[in-house]
Amino acid sequence: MYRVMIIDDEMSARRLLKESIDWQALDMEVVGEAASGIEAINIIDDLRPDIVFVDISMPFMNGIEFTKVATQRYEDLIIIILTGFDDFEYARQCVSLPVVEYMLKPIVRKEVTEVLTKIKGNLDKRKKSSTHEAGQDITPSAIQQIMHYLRENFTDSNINLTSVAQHFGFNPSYLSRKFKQETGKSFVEFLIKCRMDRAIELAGQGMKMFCTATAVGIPDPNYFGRCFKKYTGISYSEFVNSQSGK
Amino acid sequence: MLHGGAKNKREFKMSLQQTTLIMLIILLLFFSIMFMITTFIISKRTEDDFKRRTSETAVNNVVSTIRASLVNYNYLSRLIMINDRVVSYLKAEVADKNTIYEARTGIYEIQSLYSFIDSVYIFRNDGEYVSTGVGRYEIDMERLEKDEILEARGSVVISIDGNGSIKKAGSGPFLTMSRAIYDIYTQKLLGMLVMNITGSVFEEALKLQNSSGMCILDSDGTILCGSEEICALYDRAYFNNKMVYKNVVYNGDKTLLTGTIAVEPLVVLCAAVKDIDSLPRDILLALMITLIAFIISAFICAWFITVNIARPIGNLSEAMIHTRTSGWLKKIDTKMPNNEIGRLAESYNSMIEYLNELFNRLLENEKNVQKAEMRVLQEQIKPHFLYNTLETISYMAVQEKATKVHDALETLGSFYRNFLSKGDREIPLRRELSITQDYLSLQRMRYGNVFEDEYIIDDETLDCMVPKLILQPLVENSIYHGVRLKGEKCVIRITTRMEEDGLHIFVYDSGVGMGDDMIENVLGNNNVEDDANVLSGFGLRGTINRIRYYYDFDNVVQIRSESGEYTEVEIFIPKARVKKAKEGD
Repeated sequence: MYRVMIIDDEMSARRLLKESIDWQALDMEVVGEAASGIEAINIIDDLRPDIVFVDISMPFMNGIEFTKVATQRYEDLIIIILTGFDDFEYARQCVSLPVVEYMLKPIVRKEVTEVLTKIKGNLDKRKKSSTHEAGQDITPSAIQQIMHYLRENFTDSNINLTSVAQHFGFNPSYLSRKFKQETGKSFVEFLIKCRMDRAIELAGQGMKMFCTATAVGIPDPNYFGRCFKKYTGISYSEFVNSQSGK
Repeated sequence: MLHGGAKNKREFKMSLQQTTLIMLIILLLFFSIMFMITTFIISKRTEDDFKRRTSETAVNNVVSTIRASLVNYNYLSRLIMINDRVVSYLKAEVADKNTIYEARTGIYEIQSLYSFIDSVYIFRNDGEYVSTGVGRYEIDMERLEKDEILEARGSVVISIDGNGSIKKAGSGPFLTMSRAIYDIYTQKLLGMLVMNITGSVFEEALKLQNSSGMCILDSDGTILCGSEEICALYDRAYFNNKMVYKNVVYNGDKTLLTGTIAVEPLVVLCAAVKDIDSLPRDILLALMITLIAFIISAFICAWFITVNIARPIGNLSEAMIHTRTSGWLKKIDTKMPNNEIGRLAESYNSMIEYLNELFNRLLENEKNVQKAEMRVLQEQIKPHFLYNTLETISYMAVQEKATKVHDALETLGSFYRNFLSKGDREIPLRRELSITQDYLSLQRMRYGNVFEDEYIIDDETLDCMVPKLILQPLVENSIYHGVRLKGEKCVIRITTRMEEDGLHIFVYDSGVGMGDDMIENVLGNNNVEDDANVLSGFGLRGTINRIRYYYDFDNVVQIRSESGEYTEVEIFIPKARVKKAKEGD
């Protein structure tokens, strides 16, 4: 089973792709979706996809910016960029890599299936030859260093498990495991905690949500709003109101 | 066409008029200086010339007087020489008292004819002599140059004080005329005659001359009469038969000293007159009048240039600058004189006319091309095919009882119908509003309930004609650059109002707002669109420019915004430009 992720700012577009393709027949499954490049960067380490569909025109981080970040971090990741007719040439000029495919919107099931079949063939061949290399051993003090690093750098919206692991020269999945062992929290939870604690602080000062979102390193206010609600239990505006009431 | 002028504006330091004035002043100064220098040179020359001529005349006068006098004295000496009693005295073997007396009386009779003759000496060959001098004389026979006198063979030899041989106590120098006396019949030398004439004989003649000092002296510089200071200035160069001029220092002043030989060895010297009016007053007056006349004519010239050339050219250039800064290719309507400048203005106007004609022709061509392109586009879209297919799918949806799908297809169909609008450039506001409304409901369908749309519409405005697609791009901008970035539910509100001054249309959204620099960038005139803007379909600036070009004034679009709160775009169409839709449109 190959893991597929869909990144598109339109919910209906994501759902249409998810519903209209017979993934089972391709030996694939859709493991997750994201409404923006920012959200994708945050959750991609948990989803660990093999194939990503990304729409080119999205706010905050468009498909091309996402592709540039992702191809650097995930060498094996196959990216399919969905473009409208008007940006097609532009996108081709920006990113031209063998791991990147282009498809024109609106999607036609037959074309998608053909591209996916071709990709599956390539992935099958690669899987046989690929071996997992283990990174160097991670000591508790290294975990402390990483926590410190996260506290310092969480405002960088491009930061995630893989980028930090690359920065310190560790294997990402090993780091993830070790991190949870050492701290009792997952890497992502810790990062969210750093960001949300700062967000609560800023909300206390009555800052607008989209400003806070950018300030804590999640410049997509929609995704930020969801994270905030999940973390505090109430929405950002409710939180601001309750604070100003005091 | 709009903002072409300001860039190539040329800063000039001086106007034509100022240049003319400065030129004139320089010219006047130059002329005045030249005038003064010339006057000075001429007056100096005239003065020198005058002094020279005056001196020459004075010297010549004195010379003639001397010569005339000497002719007379020569004649007189002859009378004495041939006098019987004198001859008897000279011929007598021994001069007895009687003979001496007779001779002296004889001389006296003749001598008394001229009062300036001081004394006459008649020398016999044996050294005896008679004299008529009254007073004490010292005679030094040794110094009397006998040889010279004898050599002259009866002619008169002139000297001063007989070259120092004769002196009279208490008297000035004499002019001494000496000659040898020969027997008329035998031509045998009888003796010598020496006649002393008082030096002051020429004093009167000297005084009569116009000079600042004259003197008569001999070639050795011994003075006969006149000024001793002048005599001191003598040098051998003046011992010349021609007139000699020299500049010397006399009484501390530089003076012209003129001199020549009167009769050998007598020389006449004359120092030029001082302090003369070299240029007569009337000539000076005439020169001054010329100068004033020149100054006046120069000013008249300047005035003429200013009135007839500088000012009209100034007006012309002013009018051209005005035309340029107004940004329109307008003709000059300032009145111009009927000459080359007028013709220049005319040529400029006809050029403007030609340019406007060219522009209009280009514009017409451009319009035609646009129409043709629009037709091709519509042909490509094949609206009929699109609409019919949409209707078919709608029917299928109705059959399947998918009401939402039916609604969505209907809205899409309506949107496209109005969006294409038969290729018209202008549509009634009513139609533009329904495009926008359809667009917003389609967008809400795509992105979920991220905004509410509100409409506050003045019925009076619905029939106003507006350029097609002025509202839809604005709400599109609101969604992509205001609402969606905020992450909270927002309001998009369209308000139209007909007011006294014209039609006001407001597009308001409670999105993230725009910074001042962003507004400036959007409203700015630079047409550079970077790639990011092209990609994100940033149509706001394009739309604003389109509206601006259409109505052709800058304030047609205004943006107000508060960061994090709202953005409001206002389109204002002045009353005069508001057109109402025709019936049935």
